[in-house]
Amino acid sequence: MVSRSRFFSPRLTVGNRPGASASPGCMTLFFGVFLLFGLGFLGFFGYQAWKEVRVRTVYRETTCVILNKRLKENSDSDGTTYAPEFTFRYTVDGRDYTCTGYDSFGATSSGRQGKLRVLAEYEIGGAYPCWYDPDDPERAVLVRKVSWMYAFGLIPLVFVGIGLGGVVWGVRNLGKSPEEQSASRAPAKGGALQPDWTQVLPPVKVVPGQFLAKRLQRGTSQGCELGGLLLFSLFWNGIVSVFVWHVVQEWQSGHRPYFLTLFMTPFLLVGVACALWLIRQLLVAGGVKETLVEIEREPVRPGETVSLRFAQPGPLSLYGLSARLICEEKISYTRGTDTYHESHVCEDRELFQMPAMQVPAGSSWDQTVSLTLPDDAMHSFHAGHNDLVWKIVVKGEIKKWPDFEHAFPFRVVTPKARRELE
Amino acid sequence: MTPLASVKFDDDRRDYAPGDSLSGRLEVTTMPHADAVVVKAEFSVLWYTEGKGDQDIGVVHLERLWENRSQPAGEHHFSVRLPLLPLTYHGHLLKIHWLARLRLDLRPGQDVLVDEPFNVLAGD
Repeated sequence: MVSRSRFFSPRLTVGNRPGASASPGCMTLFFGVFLLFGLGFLGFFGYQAWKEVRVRTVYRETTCVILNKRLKENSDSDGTTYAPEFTFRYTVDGRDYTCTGYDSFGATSSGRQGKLRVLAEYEIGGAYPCWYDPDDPERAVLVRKVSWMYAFGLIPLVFVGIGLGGVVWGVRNLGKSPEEQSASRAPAKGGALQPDWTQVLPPVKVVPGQFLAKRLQRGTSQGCELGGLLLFSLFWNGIVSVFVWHVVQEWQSGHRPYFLTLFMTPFLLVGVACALWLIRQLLVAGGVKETLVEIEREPVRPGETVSLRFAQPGPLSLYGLSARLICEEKISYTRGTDTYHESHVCEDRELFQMPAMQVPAGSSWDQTVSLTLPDDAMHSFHAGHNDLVWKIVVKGEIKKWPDFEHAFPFRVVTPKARRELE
Repeated sequence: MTPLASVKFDDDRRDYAPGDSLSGRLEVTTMPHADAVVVKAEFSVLWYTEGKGDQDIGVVHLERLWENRSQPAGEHHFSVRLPLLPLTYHGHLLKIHWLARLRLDLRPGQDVLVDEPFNVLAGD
């Protein structure tokens, strides 16, 4: 009998490990709750919208007299919200009706001053237009306007989208083993699979070069980086500003919302830091022409020597410019609802280090270096939560301007794989 | 008692090169109890990641062998052409393993897995 090392002992397991994934049944239930929650809230906003449509299409206009007005307040641990509230009388078919309210939505919100301004627009005893429901004349509104509160209707849409996606995934995978679930994402051919092995290679952007065969592109394009940063900054600061505005109004109205102020401070600081980082990146993008990195061959195989050409267009005044070869393992993992990222540098080699220099306008600083990969270099790898990335990192220290650091990923593959790719 | 099942590679090879043919046989000889039924028997060849990151899995071959059999004992030969990537890897945060897996979905009872690991190493 052939002896086997411990590692190669056949493993017989009862259960689902290793390689198990979340049970489709559990996922269906989990996302089903998401879906129901989203549908419930969507139903509420749908009902409000339906009322709004009725106000505009079915309700009839008449004239009412304001009998009373007050600022409606709702207080809880998050603070106080307000709404204008009027009691008004109107006549339908010779019969008097008295109604209390303002608009069809009837919700309270932050912003005390705005509500006081609305109250000031109406005088007690004054006559104003109002709209009543002909099917139920006891219902009436003083204004026909679309409330900004409908914007909150977008939130349940997110829940519905995520919940529906999860439920569909769960139902489609019911009764399937983890292997079958995974295989269903690969192209099938006659029962057995012919998966595309290039899927485990990272997507690398390469264009024809001017001096060497190929020009490497930055891992994240400048436009994407700035666009993403701008969107995040707008989204974050947009939400935070609503609460900051509320806090400011609270202070102005004489309240002392110490807890809310303290609670909002870190969120505000993140928003400010994000805006400052955006400005910094805009300065880098606007003030520095991108470094050009060209390579003799791509993908590269382990042990191979290739030429790399760097070009830095001017005008630029540099304290220093350097380039490094980096190989990095990058992983992500989920704990609860948070996703964490970690990386480990397996290879870090300096390609060049230039001292301070001046690159005049209209010219370019060029440097060609030779790069030899280790014989035992692992090939590039890309999967959902695990990556092995090879890249050239160019770092520039600029006089009186923010420094820059750009990564130019490239692929390393086995000789056989490269022959197939070529 | 679990069913005696095995996955055996031809020539007891453990190291393969990308593009090699992985061949061998599967055996199921005993069932845990007389009334047990194999609802589904699947054979797959896959790579999976191990380490701190959430697990990724790539199935390169999947065969459904039997369905709803009370006496699935027998042999089955397999031959699978391995893809060119990924290679077996043992890094700091990331490891990539290959294995051939026989999965028996039993009723009553839980799934039974027989995993036979192997390496895919750069061969040129």
